[in-house]
Amino acid sequence: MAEIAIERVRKVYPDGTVAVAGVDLAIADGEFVVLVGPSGCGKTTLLRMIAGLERISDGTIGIGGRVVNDVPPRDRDIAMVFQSYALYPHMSVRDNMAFGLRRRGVGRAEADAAVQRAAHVLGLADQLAKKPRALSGGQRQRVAMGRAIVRRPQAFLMDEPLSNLDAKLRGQMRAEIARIQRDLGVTTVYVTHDQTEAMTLGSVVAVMNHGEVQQLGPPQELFDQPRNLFVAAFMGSPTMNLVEAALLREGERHVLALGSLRLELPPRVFAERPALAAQVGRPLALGIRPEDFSGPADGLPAADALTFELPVELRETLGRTVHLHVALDAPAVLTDDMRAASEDDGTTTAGRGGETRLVASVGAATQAREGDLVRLHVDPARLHVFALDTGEAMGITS
Amino acid sequence: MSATASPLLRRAGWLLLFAAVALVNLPVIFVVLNAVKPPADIVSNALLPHHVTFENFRIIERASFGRFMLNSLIVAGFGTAVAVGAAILGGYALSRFRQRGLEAYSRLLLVVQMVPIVLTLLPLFLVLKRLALLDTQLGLVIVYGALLLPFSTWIARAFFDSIPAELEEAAWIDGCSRVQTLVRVVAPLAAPGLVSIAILCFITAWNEYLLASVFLRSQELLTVGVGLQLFTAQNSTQWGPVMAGATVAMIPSALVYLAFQRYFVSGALAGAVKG
Amino acid sequence: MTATSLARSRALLPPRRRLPRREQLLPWGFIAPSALILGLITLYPLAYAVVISFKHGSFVALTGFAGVDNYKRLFAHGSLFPGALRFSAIFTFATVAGSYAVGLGFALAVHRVRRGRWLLRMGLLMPWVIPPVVSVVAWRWLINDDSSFANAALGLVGIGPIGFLSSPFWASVMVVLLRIWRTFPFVFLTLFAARQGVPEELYEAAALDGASPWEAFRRITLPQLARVSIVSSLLVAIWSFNDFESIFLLTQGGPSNATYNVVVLGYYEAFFGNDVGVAAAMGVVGLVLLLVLTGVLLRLLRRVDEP
Repeated sequence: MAEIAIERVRKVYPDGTVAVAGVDLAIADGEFVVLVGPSGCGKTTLLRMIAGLERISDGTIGIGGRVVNDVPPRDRDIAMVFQSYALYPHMSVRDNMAFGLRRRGVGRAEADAAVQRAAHVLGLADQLAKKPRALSGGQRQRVAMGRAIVRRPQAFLMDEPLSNLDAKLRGQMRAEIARIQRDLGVTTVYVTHDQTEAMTLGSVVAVMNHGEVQQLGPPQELFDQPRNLFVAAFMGSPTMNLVEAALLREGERHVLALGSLRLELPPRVFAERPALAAQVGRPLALGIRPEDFSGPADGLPAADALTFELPVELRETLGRTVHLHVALDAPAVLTDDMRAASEDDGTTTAGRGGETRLVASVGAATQAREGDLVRLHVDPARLHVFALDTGEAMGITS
Repeated sequence: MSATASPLLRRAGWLLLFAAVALVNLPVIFVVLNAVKPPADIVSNALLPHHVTFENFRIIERASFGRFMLNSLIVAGFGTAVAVGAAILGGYALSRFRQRGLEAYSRLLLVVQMVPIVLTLLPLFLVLKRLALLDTQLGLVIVYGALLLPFSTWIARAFFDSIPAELEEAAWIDGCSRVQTLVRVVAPLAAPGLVSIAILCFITAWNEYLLASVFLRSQELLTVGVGLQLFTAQNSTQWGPVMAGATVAMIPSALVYLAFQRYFVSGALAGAVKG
Repeated sequence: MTATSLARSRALLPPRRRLPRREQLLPWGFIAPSALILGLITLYPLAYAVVISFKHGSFVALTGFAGVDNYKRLFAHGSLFPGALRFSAIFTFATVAGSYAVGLGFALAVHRVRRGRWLLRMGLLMPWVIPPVVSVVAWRWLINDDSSFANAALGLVGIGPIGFLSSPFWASVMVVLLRIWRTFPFVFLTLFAARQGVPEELYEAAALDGASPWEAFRRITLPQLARVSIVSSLLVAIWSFNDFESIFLLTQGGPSNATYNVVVLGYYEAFFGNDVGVAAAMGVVGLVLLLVLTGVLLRLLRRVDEP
């Protein structure tokens, strides 16, 4: 049985930096868990502590029922796929893959057979005699996987194995990895900064930031019901639109104030999410996923759908869908992650002063072009509401 | 000269460069030329030998130069072995471990290189005397080991730094103990670098003069550098044999260098110098 | 069973905080052989020498405590030390400058060459590779007396024979030239490798921007080589300050004490003089100067690294 129990685990470096700030995670046998988050969130450090490559400052980690805090990596019966693959440059592919088996006393013939099988599964049968430098990036990645598979360990640990591959290859390998894990049924902990990989690969995803797990759950749940601003902004591409908003009460009606817009919320919203009623007057952040907008050519909206009529600033054609960037006169809400990213690439969704660009993903049949006004609808049940001060989601069932 | 200079100019520059390099080697060229000149040519100051003779080499052979060469080989060889062995261990430790005190040790190595040998010569003489290692090859081997150690450790560290720690981690996870990791993963990858260090050490030890002249007294233990100097002092006008001695003294250094040129990966030195 | 976030307080064994003993001592085990050798051969004698520098006495018997007497004697009237110190400084500076100029020149020139580069590199390293004793023998033959090769060559252009080794001035020059000849290959090798590492695109961008070759040299090559230049110059400075063979074997410090440097003078004082304390003091002064020089150059290096 290869469940992994992570309890109150912390990692503090000698200079005081807290890399992992207390994580609790119980990973079931055979589960594919993805640790996802921006760089510096502690996911790789956590993985390395499971592997035994970093010492644990506090807490315990158990693999297969026994505590492994002081157990060296070689005795933990785990296999790791490194971001840089870490293939032994002076050994052939065959020797690279057989290395771990041979170290454990497996005979040459048996090891070779195991290598053959794995090579077959990974499409490496013709590369066995070559050295790593003679292989392409994708092939090297598969050798790294092969090295892990061959050992039949209790758990696979993968540290951003796909980040050095180009986009197309990445897609292919993602499917490969998913298939292999399903076939072998080995407990897998997978670290990535790419939320697409997280969504597609994991049966359970843990979003991390600042050394803590922000939310844990199946990918769809993280997407549909983010617990806080960070998770909401991190998951989903394009990023969820986030603007400052307020909830006002006018007699019996509840009105959402966004910049100069006033949108009435139908009662059914409060029936589904009673806690929302208490948010009147509090500063809020409103989140709308680009895909939750429907455009003029997308069929009739529900009768009580919210309607936005906004000027188009940019139209991006993506084939079946079109991204319309529209301007709204409400300030944007930025998480640290978003702020850091926009510093890096020089873009910003926040306009000058208190203006925002919302991104709406609608059907390509929409004619709206730059300079036009476009009518967009949103089903109020798909709105995400967060408290602006704490970032917590309001009104979702926990 | 930019890429747009005329071919004639470039050819001229190319030739000039080769001429300059030849000029740099002029002293060495003459050593060899003079070594094969018959005595008459030396006296008459002829530039080139009228015919080639090896008489001079026979003369120095009778003057024990064969013995001197052997001594140099022993002392340089073992001195290199000692230095490289210690440097591998030290360089690895400095590269992979992060303990307090290790950085201080690294800085100590730098300071040690600055110490003028002359300063420690006398006390060292007394130390070796007390250990009964004066006038022995073993004594000189140990001294050479110490002489070559700092620089070798420095370069060894640079080489180990260039091997990603992830490879060792992978080996660790694959089931290797520390020792197995060193032997099966690190050593093969560091081998070219270690060969460079060994070559540098050997050449330095072979070429060394001062320590050998102070710590070796007996005629039969002298290294070739000291032997040549003595011979030259005693036979200052016999340029022929002196040059033959010089030729013979420089052959191993030159040979080792030429044979292992590619290991003189200037990148290694530059890398060490950078770091 | 799905993975869930746990707040279980099941009592697993508490973790140990400190590194186990064995792991902490391991690095020192690796260092031990080196430390032992260095301690015995370098550090202990060094400490001993510093102690001696504060004592009176001869090789055979050290007598009483001398305070800073020995150091005062170094600069007393009639002492050869100030002259040796001055020559050491000149010698070091000239070697660093000369070997840098020659090394840089060859590095840039060889960088442009494709064909036969290996031959050039081979030839340029020779002076460094051959033993100093051999170098001195070779040079002496070239410049020794009036009928030497050098004087014959000078005679061809009508310059009278020069007593290269008999004139204090020329002997000094010769010793410096010899040292530069022996040292420039190292500088060449280092700068050549560094030059290889400068991306060609920088020069292409400069050419498009209209820079002349001289400007490209000044504003791209030199800054890119700054770090390596400083480090290799530091090494050359240390080696040439401590150089014994070039001077001892060629001129023995003469003629007329013109070519004594601190190291050679110290040698004679230690083995042929009466007072080992004074000899030790010379060495200590030399070491202190080198430490200061290193400090200055390292600070310069830091300034280069963080402009």
